[in-house]
Amino acid sequence: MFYVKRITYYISILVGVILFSFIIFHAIPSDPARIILGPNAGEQQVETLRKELGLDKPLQQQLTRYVSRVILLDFGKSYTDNRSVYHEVFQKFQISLVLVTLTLFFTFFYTLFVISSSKNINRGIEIVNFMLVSTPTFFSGIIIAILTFLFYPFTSFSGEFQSTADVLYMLPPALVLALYPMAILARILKQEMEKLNDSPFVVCARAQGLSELRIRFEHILKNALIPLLAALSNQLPMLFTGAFIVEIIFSLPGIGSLLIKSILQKDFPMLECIIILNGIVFVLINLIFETIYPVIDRRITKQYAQK
Amino acid sequence: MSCSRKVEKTTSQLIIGQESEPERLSPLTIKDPQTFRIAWQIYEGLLGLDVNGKIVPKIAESWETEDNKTWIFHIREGIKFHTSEIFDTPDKTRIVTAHDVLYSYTRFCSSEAYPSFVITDSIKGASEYNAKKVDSVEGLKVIDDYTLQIELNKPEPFFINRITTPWIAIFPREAENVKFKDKWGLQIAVGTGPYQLISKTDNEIIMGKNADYWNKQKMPKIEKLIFRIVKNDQVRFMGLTENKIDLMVLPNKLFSVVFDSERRLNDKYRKGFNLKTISTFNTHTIGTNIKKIPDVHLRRAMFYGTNRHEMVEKTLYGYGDVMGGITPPGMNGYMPLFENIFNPEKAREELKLSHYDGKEIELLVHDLANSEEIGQIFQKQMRNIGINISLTKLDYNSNIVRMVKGEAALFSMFFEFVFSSPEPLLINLFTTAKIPVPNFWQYSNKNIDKKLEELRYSSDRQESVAICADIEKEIMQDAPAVFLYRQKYIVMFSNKFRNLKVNAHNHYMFEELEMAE
Repeated sequence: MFYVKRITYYISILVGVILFSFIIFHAIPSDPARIILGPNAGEQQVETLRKELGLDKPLQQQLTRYVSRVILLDFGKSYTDNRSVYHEVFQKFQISLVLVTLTLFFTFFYTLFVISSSKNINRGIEIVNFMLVSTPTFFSGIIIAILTFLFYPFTSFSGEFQSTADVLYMLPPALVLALYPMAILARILKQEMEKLNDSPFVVCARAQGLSELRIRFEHILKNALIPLLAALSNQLPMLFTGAFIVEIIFSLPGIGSLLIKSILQKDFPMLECIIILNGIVFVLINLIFETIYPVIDRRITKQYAQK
Repeated sequence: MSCSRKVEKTTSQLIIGQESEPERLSPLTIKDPQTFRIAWQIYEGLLGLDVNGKIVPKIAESWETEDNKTWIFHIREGIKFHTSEIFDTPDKTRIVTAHDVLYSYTRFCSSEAYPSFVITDSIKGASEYNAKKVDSVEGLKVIDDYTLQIELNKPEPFFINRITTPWIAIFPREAENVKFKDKWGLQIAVGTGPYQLISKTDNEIIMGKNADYWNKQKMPKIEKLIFRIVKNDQVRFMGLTENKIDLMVLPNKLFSVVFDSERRLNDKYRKGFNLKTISTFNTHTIGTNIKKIPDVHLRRAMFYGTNRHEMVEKTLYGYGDVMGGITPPGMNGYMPLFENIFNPEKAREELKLSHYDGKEIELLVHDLANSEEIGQIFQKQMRNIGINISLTKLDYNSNIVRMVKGEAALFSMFFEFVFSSPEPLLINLFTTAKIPVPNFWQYSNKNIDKKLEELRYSSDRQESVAICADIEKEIMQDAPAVFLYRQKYIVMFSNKFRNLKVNAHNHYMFEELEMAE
């Protein structure tokens, strides 16, 4: 029942996103036919295209047509060069997915390093975290891009994952993208773990003579994971479309840069698809995390059941 | 970001740093100048333009007309399309014939073609085809395998100046075969040009020399072209200075880094790099909607009160030619129209004669081509003579929509002209029949309409372009727009290469590029 409720909730969110994506681009005062044909096309030509695109039809009819096409994953063609929106977005999404996965790797290893580090370097870690959080991405991006250019052997991306070099090229941009979540998540986890350090169950574990490492990773970490995962579930969807600065600096053709390009070109079919994809990513991430929470802490399922 | 990894650097390889991801390499939909730089290595038109602005034969070996209304083009025999999977022949290619020209021109007349405006008004039956009223273009006719006839609506001695751009390219009909339609322009692009596409992704486009290129005298000397996308200007420039890129167009914001105080190449770059200044058929302008500003004295006040030199200095580091009219310098028949355009005294006199009441006039600016900066300078200059301007910044597309609807009193605009002579340019931009597109200023003058129509019957080209200059001068008396300058582009490239040639259509003729050694 718990999952049925959650899935129903998320489906309603998706329906909302689809409606929102339709309404927002039909509410903006714009003329897609003129955008497609450019400033030199005659009014007659523009009018003909408007009819072809169905833009002369009542809004209700347009909405019905739009929803039925979205259900069939038919997002139409790009306004700018007629390419298939679905294929284009899917292709860029793959690149973003690899970038985000590598970002998570960096975040994971840094967080692991922070929680296993000794108390002596706590102050140093705090300073590093503060710097990572407060450095704007465009600045850290440029610095790392220049350093990469000078010292890193893999400095070109073919546009597809044709070889290991293409994946290795993604490491520096993934590092830039990871700087913020790395600092935030490590700080949250560290604080949570410190908070739990003097809890009765930890004292009890120590009294039982368990090793400090075991207490730390088996007892404290398990209980500190929920706030960490909650923060991560918030960060993840943002990484997909919020990566545009990194993507532009490192010339990565991901979803973020496609989003910016489509906004500038008013390529509405592309934007609609990106918004819906973002909605799906948000829903999936939340569903995954909501599935993980009860596994880590069974009290959560009980709480839902009581509600 | 960029460097050489997958393709080893050889002596005959040129890596070009591109500013943005390329569009689909389909001649019908390309509109971005950076994609033109790539696509025009692959595609060619019937005619071309050399670096001196002279029309040169390309796929058409010769052409003739008796009445300037019916044009016969003789297609060069033996030109082959690039080898590609789209051809179902043993050698994966075939000879270009007049049927291909007919097919390509018909497609360029269709509503799907972004550059349809270049020929649709001229060719008989093209407008009807564009409006999907008929199935073929009446004026296009194949005489035999190597002869094509183009019949126009009206005589146009300057018709060939419409088709010197590689934009109106000849491509094979197999391209739009259902089997290849989705790949066309993305993984497949087939033309007759000096280079053929090897691979294309959003980050890298690789081309190889076309060994079967028809023009043996202009056989490419560089074996391979690699267009690498490096979006960030600083990173791209670093790629150039680190020899990981061989050529890039300098964005304005890097001028202060590259040039010294005397506007010469900085000492540290002089040893390893060359600069090439490119002058294309472009113009930057502040257009006026005459219906919104019907007072000619007010328009003239703006025209004379604009210090174009200041704009060129501040926005382009001096790399621009000040213009008073629409015809850009270098275009066939260009004549400097005004000795001293900036004349604040005259501007104030005109303002006194006007009925201007001090109200703010809205100027639309956009996100491209220094538009906002130009707007700010214009605003300041107008304030100096007593005209209040308010700026509204929109994205380029919204700007166009408002401009076409006639909602903006003033608008910042730039044109990269595809015509190579002033007649089609003036006819397109200033005849009443062309309101509102592309006569954005809604300029209507029966006398000018008549004079422009008479150009169709002038068989002496020299006389024709001289008449154009007179017409343009007369139009400018009505000041429908404040034409500002023609921007020059600066290309910085490694001194391992020489003989970089770029024509006024902004066509990079990489086939003429040579290794310096």
